[in-house]
Amino acid sequence: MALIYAFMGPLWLAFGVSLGATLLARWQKLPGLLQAALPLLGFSLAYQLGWGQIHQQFWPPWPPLDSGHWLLWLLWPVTALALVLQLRPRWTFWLHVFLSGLVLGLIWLIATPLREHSWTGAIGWLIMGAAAGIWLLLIWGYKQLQFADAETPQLGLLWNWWLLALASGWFCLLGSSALLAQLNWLVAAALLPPVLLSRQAAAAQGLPYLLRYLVPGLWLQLMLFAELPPAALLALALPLLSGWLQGQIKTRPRWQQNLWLWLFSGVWLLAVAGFSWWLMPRPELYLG
Amino acid sequence: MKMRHAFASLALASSMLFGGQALAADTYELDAVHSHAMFKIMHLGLANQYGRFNDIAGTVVVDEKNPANSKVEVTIKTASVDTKNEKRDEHLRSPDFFNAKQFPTLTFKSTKVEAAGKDTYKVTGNLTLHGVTKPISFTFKKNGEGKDPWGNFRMGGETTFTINRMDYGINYMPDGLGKEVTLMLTFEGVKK
Repeated sequence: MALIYAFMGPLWLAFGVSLGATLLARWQKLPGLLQAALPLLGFSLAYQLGWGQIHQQFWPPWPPLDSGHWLLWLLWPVTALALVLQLRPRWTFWLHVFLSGLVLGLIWLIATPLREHSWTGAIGWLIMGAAAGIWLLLIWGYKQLQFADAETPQLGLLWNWWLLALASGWFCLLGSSALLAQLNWLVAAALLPPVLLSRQAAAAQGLPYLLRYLVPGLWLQLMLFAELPPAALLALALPLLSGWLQGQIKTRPRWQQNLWLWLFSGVWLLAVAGFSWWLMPRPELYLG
Repeated sequence: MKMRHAFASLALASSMLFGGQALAADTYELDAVHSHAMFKIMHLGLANQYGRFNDIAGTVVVDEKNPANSKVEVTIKTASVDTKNEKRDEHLRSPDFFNAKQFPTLTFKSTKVEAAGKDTYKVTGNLTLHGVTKPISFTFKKNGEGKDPWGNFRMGGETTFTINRMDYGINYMPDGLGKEVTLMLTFEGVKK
């Protein structure tokens, strides 16, 4: 039981911090700028604190000991960038270019130990290229959704990110890393309050930028350092499939579009999660 | 002529002296079949769990007359961890613990060796695990030496010491697994 509390503790902490920030953002007496910034800042703080509780340290060491530490070191710069993108949409193009550069740089940083120890020649570059390709695919797919989301005061499409983070945690468990599972579910826990309670899309507009950084970053760690179940890669087709579905139903009312996309994402991820589990060799009993 | 003879004698004496020292230091290559790297860690505060690393290599230089010239170097591949449960081994190789793809080796390099009694040495050096290097000390007990049936000269010994995994950044599951890990190394080397 103590182990379950230890596993769930950081998730509850992240949920609580993000919930507090989201509720505060609904307080009408706050300045509009702060109302818009709070869900995003609350999300990052929630992730940071949850990470700290899991790792028994508030901040990762410098220089990063584990290449996954880069993800946290760059969390706040990306949060600042997401905030600027949310508050100053006119600067969007150049900030997008900068964010993409940052994400590609992160791939390079996370893969550093493998470049140094394990990968040689063309194979290393091929794997790096595949990882970068998958990441860019995610960014591209969700960029479409994010722009669609900006046109409406509804937050339905953020649910897709929430479902993806939830499913990613499951794939990490199948890939033998409870730590990466916990980090993915930390994203899901911190995301839930703004998705459920932000009244206006504007208040949560910066979140997709941050999610486009965090979720693929965790995926990259799963792919490079744990044992990724191959079937789980099907989950990464979700952005493309959602984009295609969105094109098919764009004439329907917005709430129906969101409902269809949410249902489709849920069914797709559930199917991939089940398929991945089914394909796994049945190991001897191991519960940690 | 006398002077030349004196220089020649000095050179001979010096080569015997230093050459003798070099010969006194014997280098043993770790015999991976007869050497073992094992560890134990407390699980849920209930029972020690044992595991081993199957891929180890290294050399030990022993200078009986001048132990300060002795050296120990051991390299262990973290991916070779074996606890008799494949799923648990996968978990240990994952980013939760050894992060074997990121930190493929565990190494020890001695910096100082001192005599600490008959056939006993205090070895001080740097242990690198999970990307962190920390100084440690342990006592190495030489069990014996001699020729094996195939004519090779062998030496063997062992050591046991404890480290705190948190010091090496392996801090996942602090409530489920003990912080202290006891490492047990048995060494059998063939003289080169």
